[in-house]
Amino acid sequence: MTLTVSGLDAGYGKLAVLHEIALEVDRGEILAVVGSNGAGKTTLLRAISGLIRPTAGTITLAGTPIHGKPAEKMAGLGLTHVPENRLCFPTLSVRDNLMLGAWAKKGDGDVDAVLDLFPRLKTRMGQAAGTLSGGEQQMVAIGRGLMADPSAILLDEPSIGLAPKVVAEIMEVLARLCEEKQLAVLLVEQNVRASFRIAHRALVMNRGRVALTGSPHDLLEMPEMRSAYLGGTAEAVAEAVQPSTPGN
Amino acid sequence: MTKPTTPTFVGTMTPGTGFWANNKGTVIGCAILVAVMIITPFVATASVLNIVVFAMIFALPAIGLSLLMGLAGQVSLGQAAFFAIGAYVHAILLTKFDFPGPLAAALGVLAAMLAALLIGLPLLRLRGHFLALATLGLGFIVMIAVRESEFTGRTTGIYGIQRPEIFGISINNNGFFLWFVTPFVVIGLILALNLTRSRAGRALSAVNDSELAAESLGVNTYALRLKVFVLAGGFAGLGGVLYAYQVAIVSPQIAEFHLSVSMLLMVVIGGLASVWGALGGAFLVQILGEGMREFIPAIIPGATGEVQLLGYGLALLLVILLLPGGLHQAVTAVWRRIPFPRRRAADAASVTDESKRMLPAVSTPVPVGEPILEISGVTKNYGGVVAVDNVTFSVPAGTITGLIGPNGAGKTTCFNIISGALAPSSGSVKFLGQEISGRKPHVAATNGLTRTFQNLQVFTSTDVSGNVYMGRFRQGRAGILRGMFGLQGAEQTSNRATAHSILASMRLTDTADHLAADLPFGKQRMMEVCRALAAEPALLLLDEPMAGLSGEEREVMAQLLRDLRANGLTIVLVEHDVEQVLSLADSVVVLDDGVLIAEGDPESIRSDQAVVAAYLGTDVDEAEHELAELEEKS
Amino acid sequence: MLTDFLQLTVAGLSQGSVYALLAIGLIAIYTVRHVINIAQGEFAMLAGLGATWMVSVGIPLLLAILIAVLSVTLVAIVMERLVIARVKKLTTLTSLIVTLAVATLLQATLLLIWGPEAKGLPRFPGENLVLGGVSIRSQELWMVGALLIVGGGIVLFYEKSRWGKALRACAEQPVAARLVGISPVAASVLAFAIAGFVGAVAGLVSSPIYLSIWSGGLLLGLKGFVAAVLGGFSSFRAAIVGALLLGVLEVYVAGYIASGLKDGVAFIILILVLVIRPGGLVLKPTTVRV
Repeated sequence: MTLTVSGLDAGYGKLAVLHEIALEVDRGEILAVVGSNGAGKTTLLRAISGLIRPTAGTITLAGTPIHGKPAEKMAGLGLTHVPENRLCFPTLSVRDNLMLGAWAKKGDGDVDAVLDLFPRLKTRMGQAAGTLSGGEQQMVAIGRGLMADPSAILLDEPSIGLAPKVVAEIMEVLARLCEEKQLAVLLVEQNVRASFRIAHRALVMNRGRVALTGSPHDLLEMPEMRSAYLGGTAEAVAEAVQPSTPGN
Repeated sequence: MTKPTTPTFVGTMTPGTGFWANNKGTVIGCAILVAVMIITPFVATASVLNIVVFAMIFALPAIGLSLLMGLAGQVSLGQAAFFAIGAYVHAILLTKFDFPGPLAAALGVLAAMLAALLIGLPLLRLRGHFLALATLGLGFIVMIAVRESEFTGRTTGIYGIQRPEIFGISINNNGFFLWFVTPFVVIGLILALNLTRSRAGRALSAVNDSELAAESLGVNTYALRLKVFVLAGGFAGLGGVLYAYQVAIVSPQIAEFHLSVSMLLMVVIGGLASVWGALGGAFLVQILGEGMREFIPAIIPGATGEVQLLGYGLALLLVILLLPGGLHQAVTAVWRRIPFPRRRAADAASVTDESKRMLPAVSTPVPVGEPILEISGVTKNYGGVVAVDNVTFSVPAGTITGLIGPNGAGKTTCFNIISGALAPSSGSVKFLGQEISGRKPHVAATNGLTRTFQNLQVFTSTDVSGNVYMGRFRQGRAGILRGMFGLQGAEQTSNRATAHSILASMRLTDTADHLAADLPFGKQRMMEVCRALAAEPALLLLDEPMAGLSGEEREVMAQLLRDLRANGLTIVLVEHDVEQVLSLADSVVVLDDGVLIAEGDPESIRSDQAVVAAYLGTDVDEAEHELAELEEKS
Repeated sequence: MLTDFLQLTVAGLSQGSVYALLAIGLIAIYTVRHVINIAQGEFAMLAGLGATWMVSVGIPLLLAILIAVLSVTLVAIVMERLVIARVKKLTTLTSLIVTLAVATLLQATLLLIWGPEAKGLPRFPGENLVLGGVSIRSQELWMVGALLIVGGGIVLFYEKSRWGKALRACAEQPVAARLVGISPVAASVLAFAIAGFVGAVAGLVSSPIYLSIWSGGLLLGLKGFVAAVLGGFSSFRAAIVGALLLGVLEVYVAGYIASGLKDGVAFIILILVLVIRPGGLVLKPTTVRV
């Protein structure tokens, strides 16, 4: 397993958000993490990438423990995080945004590979990232995350605010990427159907815990899935919880 | 224990009532101060007496500055400029126009306040940096102005100021002068202390903890800050007036930077937000300055000029780095260690009896069922991105309305527009028939609309009852003046009682004396709701009230909201726990991508296809179709 | 008339160049740390007095300048590590107080070491020019030249170099900058080093004409601040334009009204700008919300 998380607790100050999260993502695999907002999805990514310090638990990347390391070390260790709302560097050109993505490698990185994935960016290379459309900014953000040549990549809501067509395009690229580069992809999405189409496995979070795991197809069929989003009793959700660590 | 993030006066609620209980500290402190000042001229050597006199004079600008830093959260790097304005105006009126002493003094103080008003008026709206740098600049301006003008005597300044006479006795020596100065300092201290505990003082302290929350309770931050800044200028002006009497010469040096630094240091050493600390700081800095002026030339031969600056700079740095709370922090820490038998507010605990649970009063200006809040055509753009798109709905009085939608749907933006935190790009928000969109939050709050916050906005520098008490802000009327003269006892007592009864209704009585920052998260959230209720709102806006609450706490909260609705309160809540909303609300509004996609009772929402699609993602057929198209192309 | 006007303009531009260098330092620190460094002007005085002393004990001018620039840069780095990085909760209030403390400390140190008198470096080599009746002192050319070379160099550094872009990334999106691996500590140290460097250059080129004095840094820093405000505290170019404007206006006021009022100009501009246009001379706001 490339990325493993076990017994992870994290939060902000007094607010404990995550409770005993366990998950694993292998190379060449996309794990979709879904759940209503407030379920702790973004917090999970922040805890893994070191933006917040976990209060308990372990995180390993290719066998090496990485929990407790600051966020700025992660890219160098082979884990990148494409944050919510993209967070491109607005006055820097697309080229510079991408080049900075390779900061941890101390080299220039493979810009061509990114342009290969997102040909649309070719004509935008000199343009300030802040002037791009939302979809293009998302491509820059993902591209920036790829520049460090990571073994695992965390994506936070890449579909948010984008037209369905662009979402489909980005999802397709992610699927291709995962396979070609044998990346471990942890995809946090609220657009359940879009992410489930490309995910190999999925995990539903509810109130900071892992509520359900399984194959996307099975999960979509489960009534509990719907209740995790649209209510129903807490007991029904609890009953539906499966062992959160799948077998090897 | 969590320390307050911004320096503010730690204002826990005194449990008792009555003059003595509320003013014990002030009375004892002032009595000791007066006694020491009466004795000093008889026992002190000439040089010690000199230090004491100057410490007392400089205590005034320091007290003013501590109010500014502690209450307004702003810093003036040019306090000496106001000091100089007071001194110059006083000196000029006395020597050139033969004004009577008291009138000249009063005009000196007024001139300093006027200068503060002119500077503060434009700058207090901006971030703290600008006021700081502008006051630093003011110091230079005042210095240049008096140095360049013949009228102010250029570099020589104005001399020949006569010492005052009182009852025919000329205040012609340092001993007499100390007695002359002491009443001013004592009165200044009392006014400042009263202010910190007054309605206005608490409001400003709350602003420092959370501007957002304070404004949502009706605090007009800008106006209060401006008043405190002017007041701080007045204190400095008074110090200048007394200085002119004492030194008998007023020259451009008194506007100099190093004097402003020394005043800042007095406040920092004393503890950024302690009035008594500022007095103590004034003494320490005078002693430090005197000591440095003797010590430095002794070890560095030939050192002349403002050598005490070395000590000032070092002391400033060390205090901020090692003891950010200054003397005040040190004394409080020691005080807490002393095992006194302390009075706890045990009496308050007796009201927790379940059966006597009282609900806080709510105001019901509109009959149940009539619209209390009308949102029509509200749109919000963020640089081309439409966060809220032409949303229209209305909220009937006496109901709970839930506002839900997936992440990024625009719920929070919509909520912020209603509460006045954000101005819509177009459209209108009418509360009680009055347009409130685009007004500052305190305007809506004054009309009876209060809110809570998704990210808790707790007033960390006070205790739980102090937080809830702040909710009473809009019921009070006492301003800064009444606060300074302590004329709001009855108002405070009744508000305190209300705060306690509201806490009882949420079963929080046992935590009333705890520092708000020490509470667990769930309790802080409950406390915030209590605070909002204390304002006796007609409309309560709750931003994710269930987030972070335990199952039991959720039950208490839900029950409270139901009870409040039964009493006629209108509630709007944004909540991501859809299950909770559907079980609680009378009607539900669903947003997706900024557009209102469904509106109705919980049952119809639960089975609405558009809502299901919004939560579970784009319609699967449509997306697959598009993907297929895309694949064909490539 | 015209000659006088041009003469004043030349003096104003050279003076403004010094303010521009200080503004660059202030902006460099502010964008990364959100700290307004009140000690910025003290960097200039430290460099000026230090180099003057070195020259007086026989160290060649060029060497003295090099040593001064390096040591002031070092002082700025030490300030970052020993003071700024150690403040537990860096708020607007505490950041102003600590940098003021450092400014005070530096002033006192200068006073104790080099005494209360104003001192100046010898003129840098070069011939004075007379162009159409306007005489331009060589030192004034050095001042403008320092802005062109050092200021221009810094602007280029931010626009072209890897580390310069990294600093901009930190200023624009600190979280994303951390995620690509840029260390916030390194960025902060670099920003202070830049501030120390430009401060030192400003102090050195201005020392022969405007002299260096222990207490002079504050006012100089304040003028740099005004220029930075004109630049909206984000744009180097706008701040440089603002600084030159300020320098020229000051000299006009001194020349046509009264020399004593010169130092008041900055303050009036500051108030006016803050009231009328708090965003400075920057044409459009750079904030991007998506």
